[in-house]
Amino acid sequence: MNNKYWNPFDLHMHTLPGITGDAKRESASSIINFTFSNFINSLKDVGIKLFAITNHNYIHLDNYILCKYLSRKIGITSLLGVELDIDDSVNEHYHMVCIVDSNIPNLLNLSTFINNKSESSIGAVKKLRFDENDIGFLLSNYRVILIPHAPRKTPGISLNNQEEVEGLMKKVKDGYLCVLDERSNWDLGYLKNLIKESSFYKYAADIGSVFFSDNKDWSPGEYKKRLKHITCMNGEPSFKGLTHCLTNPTERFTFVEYIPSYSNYISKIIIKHKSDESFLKDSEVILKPGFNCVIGKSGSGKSLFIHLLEKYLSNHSIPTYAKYDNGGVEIHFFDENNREISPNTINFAIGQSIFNKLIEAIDVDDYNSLIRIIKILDPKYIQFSSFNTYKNNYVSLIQSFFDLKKEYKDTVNSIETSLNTFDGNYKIMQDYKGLNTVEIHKIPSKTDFALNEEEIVVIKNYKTHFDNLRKITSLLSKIQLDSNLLESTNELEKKYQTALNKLIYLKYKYSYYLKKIEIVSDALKSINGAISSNAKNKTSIEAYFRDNIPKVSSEIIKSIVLRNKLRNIDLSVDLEKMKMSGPINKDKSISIIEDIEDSIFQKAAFKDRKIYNTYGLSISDDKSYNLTKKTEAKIFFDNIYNSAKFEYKEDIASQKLFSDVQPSLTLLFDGQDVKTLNSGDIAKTYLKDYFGNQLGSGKSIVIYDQLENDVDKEFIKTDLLNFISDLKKRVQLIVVTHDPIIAVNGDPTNYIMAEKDNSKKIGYRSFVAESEERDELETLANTVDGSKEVIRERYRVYKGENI
Amino acid sequence: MIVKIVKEEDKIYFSYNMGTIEVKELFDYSSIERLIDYIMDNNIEEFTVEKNEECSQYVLLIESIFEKIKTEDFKKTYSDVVLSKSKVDVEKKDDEE
Repeated sequence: MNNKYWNPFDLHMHTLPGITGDAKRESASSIINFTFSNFINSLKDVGIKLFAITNHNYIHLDNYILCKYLSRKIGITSLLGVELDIDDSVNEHYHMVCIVDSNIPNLLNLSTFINNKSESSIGAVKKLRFDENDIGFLLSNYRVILIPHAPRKTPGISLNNQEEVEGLMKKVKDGYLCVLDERSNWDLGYLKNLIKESSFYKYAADIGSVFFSDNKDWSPGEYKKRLKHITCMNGEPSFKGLTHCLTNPTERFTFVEYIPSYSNYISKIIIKHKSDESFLKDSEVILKPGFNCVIGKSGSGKSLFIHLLEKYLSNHSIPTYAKYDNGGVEIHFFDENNREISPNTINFAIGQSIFNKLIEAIDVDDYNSLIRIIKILDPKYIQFSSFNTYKNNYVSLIQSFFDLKKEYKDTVNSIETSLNTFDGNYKIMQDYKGLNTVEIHKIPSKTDFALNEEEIVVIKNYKTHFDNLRKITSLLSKIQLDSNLLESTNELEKKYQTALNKLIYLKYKYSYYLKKIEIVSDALKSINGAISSNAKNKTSIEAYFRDNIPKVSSEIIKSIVLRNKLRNIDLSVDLEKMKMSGPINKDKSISIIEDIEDSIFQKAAFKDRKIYNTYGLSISDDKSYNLTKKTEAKIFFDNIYNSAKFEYKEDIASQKLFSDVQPSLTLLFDGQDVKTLNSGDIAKTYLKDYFGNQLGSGKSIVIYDQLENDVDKEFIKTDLLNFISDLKKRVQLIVVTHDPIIAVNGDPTNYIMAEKDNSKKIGYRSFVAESEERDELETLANTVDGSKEVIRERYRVYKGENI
Repeated sequence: MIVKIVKEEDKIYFSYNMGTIEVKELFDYSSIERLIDYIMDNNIEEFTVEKNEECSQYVLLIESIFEKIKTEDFKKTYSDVVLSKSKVDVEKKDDEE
């Protein structure tokens, strides 16, 4: 859990005994073990960042100053208040915690007022009660936060889950907890009425339980035990921070266990100019998780900030940024742990540029731009996929139809040729009736002997080596080296002689075989020479019949099969399969229609050349054909194929079919053609879709320039604020705006102010609305509303309407 | 050390000597804080507030504060928080480095 931006707080605790509603001094023992040491350690133990000391009907200013003094040393902020006993009109008794923001002299006056009234009640019969007039006095003189609080109710016990906490905070938003930071009287009457009419009391127990502990026991460990839940605020731990958070309690307050977990966000951007020519000056921009709002006067560089992020995060050239980038800048990004990170590791989305492109595309009726826009709205969109798929399939169909026709024609031609030949040969055979023929045998071809003459000579001459060997073995036998040597030599010579004899015999036998072939060949030549040419022809024709009858038979069968295929082939077009329509976003508010003019196919004529461009080839047929009908489609393509001048090529179908048919494309926003919509309607649908997509996109950072462009205030107030509210819980949102509804009512957790100095250099600084360092609400009022005076004047006007 | 509280033109000031320097400040929390800091940091044992009928409430407040900062409880807590603060400062500095 990352709670860097969430500060635990406790707005009601007792440090010293006060005076009870029964007009008695509280006994010293009513506050247990308060010492400065126990107090500070208890706060540290829980991690409290903001507390308010609110004793019972009494203000101990000295005690408060010293607690503040000590806690400030360890970075804890303190506020002073008092817990007052109140009765409403039906005498329902409850407590009101009043927290006051003022300087010490004013607080001293307040303590005198409260303490005097409480002191004077002691011993009186009447109970001590502060009434609506006392509260009115407080409200008229101080900035006060009032928190109703039912006594005898254990804080925090009745809320069991986040929804219940949020539900209660909604009651706070509805006015059951009042903050008055201006000494105006306009709502004093209303507030007095609230107090008197018991509206406060209704939610007193629960509301109190969220905001404070009501602790009285400072024994070590007891404070932590007392807090069933630790409540945190997403704002500066100060009175200003509190009042700011109270403007949006459902999002700004929660129990520590429900704090959203933040990760993957940019915590800081450092911009450094690299050249004196740069329009940008060095800036350190702090960003927070949640909603970061970029504001500034016209021309101050708000959009430039977005372009700067877009350029460096996407590493793309951004034309609108380039003109400012004289000499370039260095930009460094830091993650949630304040470590510098590479821009390409940041998972982000930028919405602004798409919207502008959309408007431009529609304004100029740019077909290709429209396609690009659709692809941005739906990255999976493939242009005319239905039409192109159908066309490809149809091209294959026509191609196979033409192939079939060619194959059928070739087969029939081949059969005709064979049958004509059969017919001629048959007539010849009638003439050869009774003619005998001799069957001619083939002579086996000559084969070469295994050894040539040279090799045979080498073998024969080897005999001399045995004479030499014998001489050597005779000499060796004198030294009786080996008695078997001579014997072995003789044996080897004997085997050689046997082999030589066999070779001479085989050579002789081969010569005889050759002679025999020659004699037989000569004999056959004399026989064949004696046969007549008619007999030869008859033999040849008989062989032809024998070889070709099976071939022609199979061709006849093939032609029958092909003819049936051609007869049954369906070339009709299915118009619906070429068209496509449907939503392209999750909530189905954006859809497209890809349409085809039906008449192109229902009244297809050769002269139109839309279905089949013959490129100059004239087909003398003026009829029109309905290609959605099987018969007519068949005739249409038969005519093309059968055209006298038509020369079939294998790729002709793919080149010429549907070449001039172009589907129409319509983009619909909420069922209406975008071309008929104004930019406001387009923006509304686009923004709904864009933010809807970002919610589930897994992006860490969503950036948008001029969110309010072209949309009305009603849309901003309802839809856009809801989108922002949802989105800022899941991603880091960086939005440029001029609009006060977004910049103020949208409750950004952080602002980035774009400013241009006297030398026209643009710089950026970050701030929070509740800053203690300067009146940033005034900055905000001046920048997005004109000024506080403008707001006041506007309010005066509206007040006439009793708002 | 003697602290004086005076009213001038509807504004309340208090003054005291910080060593040889005479301090005169508008009466508010930050000036009270600087006064306590001076007392605590310099271990000043003797400090009182001069009576002034015109500013009796303010005198009473400072008197009460003075009384409490003399207690062992306050002194111990002060040294604890100062120690704790310097520890936090060192850690912060380390983080920045």
